[in-house]
Amino acid sequence: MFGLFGLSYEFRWSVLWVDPHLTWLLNGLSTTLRLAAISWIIAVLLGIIFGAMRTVSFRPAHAIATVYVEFFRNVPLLVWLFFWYFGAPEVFPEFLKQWFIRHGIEFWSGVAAISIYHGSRLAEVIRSGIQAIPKTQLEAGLSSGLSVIETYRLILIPVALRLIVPPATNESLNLLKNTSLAMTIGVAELTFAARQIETYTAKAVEALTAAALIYLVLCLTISMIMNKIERKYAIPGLIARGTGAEH
Amino acid sequence: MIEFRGVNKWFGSLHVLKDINLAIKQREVVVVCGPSGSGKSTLIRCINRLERIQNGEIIVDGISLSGKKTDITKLRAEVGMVFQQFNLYPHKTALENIILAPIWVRKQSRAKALKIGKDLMAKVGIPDKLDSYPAQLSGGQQQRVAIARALAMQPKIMLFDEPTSALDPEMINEVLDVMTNLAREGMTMIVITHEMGFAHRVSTRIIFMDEGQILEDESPELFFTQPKNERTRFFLSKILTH
Amino acid sequence: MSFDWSVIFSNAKFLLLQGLVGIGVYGGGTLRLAIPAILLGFVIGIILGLARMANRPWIHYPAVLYIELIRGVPLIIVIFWFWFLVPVIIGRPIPEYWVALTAFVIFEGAYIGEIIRAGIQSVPKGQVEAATASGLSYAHIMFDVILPQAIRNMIPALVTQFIVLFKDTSLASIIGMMDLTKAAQTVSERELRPFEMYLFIAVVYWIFTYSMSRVAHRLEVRMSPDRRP
Repeated sequence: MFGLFGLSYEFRWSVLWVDPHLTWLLNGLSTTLRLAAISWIIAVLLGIIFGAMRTVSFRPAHAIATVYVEFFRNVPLLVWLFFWYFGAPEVFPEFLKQWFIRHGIEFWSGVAAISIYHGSRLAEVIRSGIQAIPKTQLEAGLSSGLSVIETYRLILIPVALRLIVPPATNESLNLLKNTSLAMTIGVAELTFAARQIETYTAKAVEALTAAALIYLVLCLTISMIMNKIERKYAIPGLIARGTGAEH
Repeated sequence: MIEFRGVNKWFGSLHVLKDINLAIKQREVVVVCGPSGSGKSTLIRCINRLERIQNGEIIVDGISLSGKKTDITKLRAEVGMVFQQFNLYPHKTALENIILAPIWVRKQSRAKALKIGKDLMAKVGIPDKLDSYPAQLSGGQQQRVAIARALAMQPKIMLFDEPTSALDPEMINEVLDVMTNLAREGMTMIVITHEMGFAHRVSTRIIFMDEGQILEDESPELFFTQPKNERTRFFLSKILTH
Repeated sequence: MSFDWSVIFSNAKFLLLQGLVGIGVYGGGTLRLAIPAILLGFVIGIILGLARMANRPWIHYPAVLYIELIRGVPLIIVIFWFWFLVPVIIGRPIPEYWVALTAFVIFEGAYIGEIIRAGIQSVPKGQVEAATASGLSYAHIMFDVILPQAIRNMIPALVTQFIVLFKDTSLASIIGMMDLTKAAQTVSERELRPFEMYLFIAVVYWIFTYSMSRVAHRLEVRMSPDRRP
């Protein structure tokens, strides 16, 4: 018993580890991780392609990338989830629609929404990383006879990657946390599981706390790993750049 | 070796190179000087097409830069360039900086590139800094690595864009010494610098530019003793007094 | 599949007036939620940012704990938390609008706090030393010397965070508050036109956030000693 302003709310933490509740949570966690991992890989690819495209002077490439980035990152993810789940499949060609339905339309709509949305945000991170490198590095590469592509591959991108790691980590954590929104289109991920337990037991605080703790542990683990990577690949003699603001 | 024929260039409405005609032969060491904004930097950046010209023609090693079929990366491999701000790649060690282009552009084997790289580091006088990162080197050392990096491509021409302007005074000579040796070996060099001692001792020709034009193109002896142009005299009086 | 864009026009009044602005029987409204959330979040953020930089451990550590805890969990969890917890605490349910507003302020305050801290730390240490050496008090050092410089440094990040907050208000629809997203959902379920509906509100959100990001970009360009033209 726990009294709050005279009202009582009876904590019953055991609801978390009786079955099927524990199974729900674990399945939810595994769905969250799968959703985050697949979306992250696609988002990183999109981010690299479109982020690099925004730094080239070739007009059409630049324009396409700008439209992609500016449209997708400036609209709420929730709207994109609804769009990809409710709206987009209607206009898909039949085979694609069938594929989606066969493989779990909720999950793959979630992947589409999250990866395209976060891809546009990662593209911005990558663009600013590339642009933080002095233009003279490009000239140094070109004047030694490297082609534009080689200069990007061997010099600009490796340096930019190091500048990008801290903000990209932040963005990746945002992606992980944002997978929770997929519950709104019926993906049985972690937050969905917590709500499900709440529905069956009316123990909202316990269920939400459990989910919150799991997210917290995931986020802390990832940021610890990324810190290690950052330190391992730090360029000797160069002091890490100041604490940049997030988002 | 290098020829400018009626070259003009504008940055927007700013006319930075005005009808430049210039011929530089093999083994010449040409010093270019002039006030800032005179177009001297633009002039040498046109030689490896870091800047494009609007009209006229530039011919480097018998190849026209404006030709449609000109393979510019191939040409750049023959023209080494050293920058004011060194522009070493910060994530690579000194040696890695040097061997990058030989391996990728010249398709040298790694072993061969490493050997050449080590020799060059010895040649520029810092054989013990092979594995240092740029940020761990002094400015003079960084610039010497940058020269070694350009030499590793075995270029036919070397361009120097104010190679000592960003250096502390005590480091200027260590870089100029490397450049002097290079000139003695017969390298074709174009050097933008205000180091008039170097110009006097080493160059075969001095070009003075102002407002996008070549005002003076003389042997060092005549340049310092009998400058033709009023603005050259004014420039020299300012630069030689300190 | 054929499109029917007229569904937008026939429902425009409901979507924009009720959903976006919040005028109508349902209350709510994206702007009516976003504007106070931004202002209050900023206030909480300044307090948290300063608290985190405080020397006194009993101020410093609670602020660290708060910021790190909040930043480690998804916003939707915080919203649900308030949604379920507040009625238990005060004994009666409260309107969705107030749940959402509280959750947003609490959540965004943590993020804004970090921006404030980074901005303050971006001011060179010598500034504090010079001000201290001239005998200024802590309040004067903070408000006359440090904050004016710091705010200049953090404006781009702040505007970006406000954009994030504006987009985040769409999550209020999950607990049933009638905002632009919820309005679109309602119309889309009635008219069976999800493609047109969601694309339309995407554009509406975009108009607001994109204009904000242009402002942020202008400030960034104007305030950074940038190398490139």
